[in-house]
Amino acid sequence: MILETTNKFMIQLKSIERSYKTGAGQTWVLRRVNLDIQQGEFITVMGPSGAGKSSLLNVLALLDDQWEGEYWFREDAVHALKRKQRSELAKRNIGMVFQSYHLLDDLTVEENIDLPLSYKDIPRRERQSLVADVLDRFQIVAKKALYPSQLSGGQQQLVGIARAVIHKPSLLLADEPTGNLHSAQAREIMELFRELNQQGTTIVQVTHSETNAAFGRRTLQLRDGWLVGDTSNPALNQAEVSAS
Amino acid sequence: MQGLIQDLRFSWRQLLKSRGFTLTAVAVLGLGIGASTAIFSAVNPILFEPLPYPHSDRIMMIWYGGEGGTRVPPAFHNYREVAARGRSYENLAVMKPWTPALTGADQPERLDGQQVSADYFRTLGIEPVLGRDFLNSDDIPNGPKVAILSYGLWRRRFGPDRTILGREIRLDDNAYTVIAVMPEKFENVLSPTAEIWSPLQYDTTNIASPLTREWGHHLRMVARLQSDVSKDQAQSELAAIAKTPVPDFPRPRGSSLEYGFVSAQLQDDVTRGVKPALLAVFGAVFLLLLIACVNVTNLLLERGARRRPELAMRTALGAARSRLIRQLITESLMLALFGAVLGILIAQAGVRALISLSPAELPRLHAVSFNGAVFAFAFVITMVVGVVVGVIPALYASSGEPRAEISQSSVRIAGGQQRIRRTLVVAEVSISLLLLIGAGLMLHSLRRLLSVPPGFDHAHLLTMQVNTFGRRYDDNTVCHRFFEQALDAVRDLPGVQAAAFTSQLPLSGDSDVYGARFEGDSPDVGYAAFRYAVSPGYFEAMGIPLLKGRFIDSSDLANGPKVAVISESLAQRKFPGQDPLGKRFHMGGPPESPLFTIVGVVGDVRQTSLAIADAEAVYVRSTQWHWADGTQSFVIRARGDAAALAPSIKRAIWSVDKDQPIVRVETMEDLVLASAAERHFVLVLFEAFGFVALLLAATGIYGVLSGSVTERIREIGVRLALGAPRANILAMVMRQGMIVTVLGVIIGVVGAIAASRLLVSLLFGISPLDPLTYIGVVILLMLVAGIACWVPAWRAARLDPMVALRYE
Repeated sequence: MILETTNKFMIQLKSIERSYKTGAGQTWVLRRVNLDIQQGEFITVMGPSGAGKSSLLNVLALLDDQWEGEYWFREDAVHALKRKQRSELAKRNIGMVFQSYHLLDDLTVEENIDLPLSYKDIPRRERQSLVADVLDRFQIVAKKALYPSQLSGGQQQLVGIARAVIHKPSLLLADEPTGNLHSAQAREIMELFRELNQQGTTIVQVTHSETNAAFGRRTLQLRDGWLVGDTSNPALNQAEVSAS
Repeated sequence: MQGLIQDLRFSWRQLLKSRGFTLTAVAVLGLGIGASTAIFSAVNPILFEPLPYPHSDRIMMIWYGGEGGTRVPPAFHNYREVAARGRSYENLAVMKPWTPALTGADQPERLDGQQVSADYFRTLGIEPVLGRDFLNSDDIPNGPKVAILSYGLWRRRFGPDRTILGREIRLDDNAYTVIAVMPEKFENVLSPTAEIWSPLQYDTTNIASPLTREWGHHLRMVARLQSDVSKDQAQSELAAIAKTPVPDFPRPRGSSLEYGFVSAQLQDDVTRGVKPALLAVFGAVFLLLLIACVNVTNLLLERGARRRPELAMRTALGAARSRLIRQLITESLMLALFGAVLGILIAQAGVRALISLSPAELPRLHAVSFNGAVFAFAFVITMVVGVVVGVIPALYASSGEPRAEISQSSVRIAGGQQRIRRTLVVAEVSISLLLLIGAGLMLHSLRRLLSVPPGFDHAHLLTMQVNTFGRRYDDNTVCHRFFEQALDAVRDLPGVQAAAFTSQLPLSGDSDVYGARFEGDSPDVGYAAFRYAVSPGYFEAMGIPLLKGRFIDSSDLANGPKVAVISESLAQRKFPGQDPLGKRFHMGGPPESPLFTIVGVVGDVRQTSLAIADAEAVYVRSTQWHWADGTQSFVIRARGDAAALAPSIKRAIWSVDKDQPIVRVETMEDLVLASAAERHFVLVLFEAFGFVALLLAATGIYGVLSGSVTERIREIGVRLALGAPRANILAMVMRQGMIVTVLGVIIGVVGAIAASRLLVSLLFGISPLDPLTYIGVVILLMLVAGIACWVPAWRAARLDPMVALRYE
């Protein structure tokens, strides 16, 4: 059964739950989320504010480890891994793109892109070569010596994506990647995502934009922490939600 | 005015709102202001305040000049020559210590006093509050036995009884007439413990006889300059007198004024010994105050950064920058005032601690008090501190573009103030290193000093001084018999392993030096050596080792051949490569007196201080000396606790004569420690300041790093999200803190090297650049800084990236 699972899916979430303790008691942000993601998919997660979209992305990114349930990443049972092992897994396989870019102000474009590689055991010469490739591929060679504050929002997000894919992750997670960009810039970024997806990168993006969602091939709907819609699974049982 | 009240009210509310900040800042400022005020109150009367005499700047001390400008006590005839030939001085006086025993209705009491020439009080410019001053007719050989009492002695022993004038009191079994009482506030800086004075009554007519006490160099000379004569003019006149002997004042060999006179203002003379130590302590406390200011400036900067949106809003509403600065400085002044209130309390406790810690040689100790000058000092430094700590944060917080400030959160805009704060921490680290190196050098120095072998075994040794008084003790035989019987009584006590007595005790302040002239030497050649008139068994009781020959023993009878034991240093100096045994010399007494024959050589003993190797000494049996010493120090080696034997030993001595005063009862271990008291005093203060400075520096490092981590949360979150190992984050923050520390250490070491020469006079046996001390202090500071860095670094490494990324 496990072998079958690992062969078939890149990611499999089983009954994932996440809650926070608050003054008023326990607040649930994810409820019994079951989700299968196949290699090469381009998934869009949608839903109103507070639906649990970013929380789901954090779980997938292995940034959060306070959830309950089962998380399989290929043949790895993430739920059984220790924090350090999860971190290693994420470092190897996952890239993150943030809404507010999260570039480091004191580092140049080139240094920002190099950052994830600097945390890996990669010789400097090889890192330089990889960074040069990415700068070239994203057509930002001319900007490599600039600091983030010297770039436009679109250019900053381009750098953010370049940084996210420098180590060739198989899974790219993007949280509102165009949230701070105007439509022309947003379109360029989404085209880039499509291109990356076509090259084999699995992408999961969170967005409010229907236009951006249209770039994906599968859309998930979240509401109050429940997964209430999945275009690849029209039979997703609403009753489960109601029953709970 | 209305604006000021508004500022004060708002400041009060602001400080009340941030209680943690306010308490920390007030505590740090209180510590700085309190320590500075305490030290100022101790240093002020000694170094800065004029002495409590009219025109005290005109009072000079005059010394007989020694080789290399050293100060040698003048002889009586030196004084007479200056008094007769000099025109620069209004008054001139000489004095020497006097310790008469006062007897009467009460228990006998040994008093501290002075024998002075007639003009002593006129030179100081002080008149008695009751009765009359000494007259020239009192100060003649065999003149009237008159005495002047201190106010304290008058109240203590005679009640405030005005009929004391003209009454007779008994001093050393002689009747003295009380002629005056000095004012209550009279402070006698030349002998602070003196309570009674009598005329010197030296002979002015025996100037041609060199072997008289009038040619003995054992006096101190004080003079009051004429109002129209400068110090330089007086000094020139003294030089001229020294260079041009006149027949009326013939000078014997050894008193030829070859090096002239040395004169100095009384205040400088009195404080000369302690000035380097006090200046060092004053400098140290200033550095501590500086660290406290830097610390609070840092706190205010951090707070200012948080308040920039508020200040920007005020600017947007029309407040001028100067108005904002005034508001912020009002707050820092208010903080400083609260700090001052706490500081005054700390200072009052500090002054009490200082007095109890201070070495006996510290002059004007009883003048240390909380007076107007001290309050003025506290007020001034409070105002200065209030402005100093407030100005940088106020300038910084009030700068910037209001629109940007209002729209941005404070964490993003704090980069500039972080740089200032890091610079301040570098300063803090360097200053604390400076203080710690000072403390380290002195600690090292004191250890070296206390490990200097004194030349005897000071463990289990009790000492006490026994004085004789009364006419019957003028008879040498009676005096010798008393001390020998007292010694026998002591030796019979259980618990006493050995006992002896000596005319002067090492490390007790005694200093009795005679010239030894060896047989065959030219009459011009003499060897200055400490003279010890001891009982048999002295060396055994003290544990002084015999190197050659034999000790003095009971077979050396009073009327037998005169024998002496000399110290190794004297033997090596006088008889290098020769056997000193059997050699003979003359010491003390008339020239025709029998010579002493050397029968033994013993190890050197430190007499005046562990730091001074003045070890040339001659030991003779007390009964073989030219006269009977009326004061002897008993040394008792105990089998167990030496101090516990004191009462039974006193009883044993009093069993021979119950009227003889016993004073200075101390264990030899205490005497050894007391001999290093000044260094110990400075060390304790430096250690305390160094410790507080280290603590403040560590707090500063922690505060800056902690603030930096808060500002860098987003960055740290990104790094973690991009796969940075937590160890990497820990190292990153640690590195940031340690760079600041290392910079501070480098600057501090350079500063310490430059400043260390100021400590040279306080050090013993080590270089002011002692590498071990520097390395040790740097390691200590790095360790403490490491801990201070580790806490925020650990917090950064433990950050949840998810939370960090959301943080803004």
